[in-house]
Amino acid sequence: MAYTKSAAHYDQILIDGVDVSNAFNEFGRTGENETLDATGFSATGNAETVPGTTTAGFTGTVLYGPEIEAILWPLFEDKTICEVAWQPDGLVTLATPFQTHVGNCYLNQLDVTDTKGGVRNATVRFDPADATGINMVTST
Amino acid sequence: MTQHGRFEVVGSFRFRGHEIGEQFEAKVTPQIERAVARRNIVCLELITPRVPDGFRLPRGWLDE
Repeated sequence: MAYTKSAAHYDQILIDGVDVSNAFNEFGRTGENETLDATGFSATGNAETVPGTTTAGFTGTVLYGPEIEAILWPLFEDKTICEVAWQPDGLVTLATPFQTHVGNCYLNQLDVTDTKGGVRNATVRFDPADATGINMVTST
Repeated sequence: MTQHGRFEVVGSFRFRGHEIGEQFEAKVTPQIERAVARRNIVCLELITPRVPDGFRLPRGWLDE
């Protein structure tokens, strides 16, 4: 079977309804299930686990400017819940599109960094704000 | 009645799939209010849905 392989150029990112795709050069969804020990007595002595709490979120690097500041800073400072959606290759039409990751989130990290001579950028992290979490939905 | 509005996308970013310069109608929600405050969109008209004056249900629709 042939598997699709591609470079990341066309990711679509929406934050609070605004298409900020062109302002980001790195974006992704994090996901991890807590590992709970469920080891019982056995002939093998091997450890057993069950998945526990799911921790998920979005992280990214944004090219920081006044327009992005107007969007992100109030979300961070006011601790406002906003919808975040990310679809790899979402800016182009594919025969087999990637799914969209979406969730209601708090912006809990906004680290703005200036390096002399470099492009001004900021690191962001969004964490889920409700029990719905971050879900993968069928892209239209 | 939930307030709705007619909005136009302005500035540098598309909004909820609408292109810059495009007009759309939407329910006024906190997200819409934030977008207006940031000037991602401008409100052209507020619409409050209401039934016409003198509206009556057809005879027999309600047990009176």
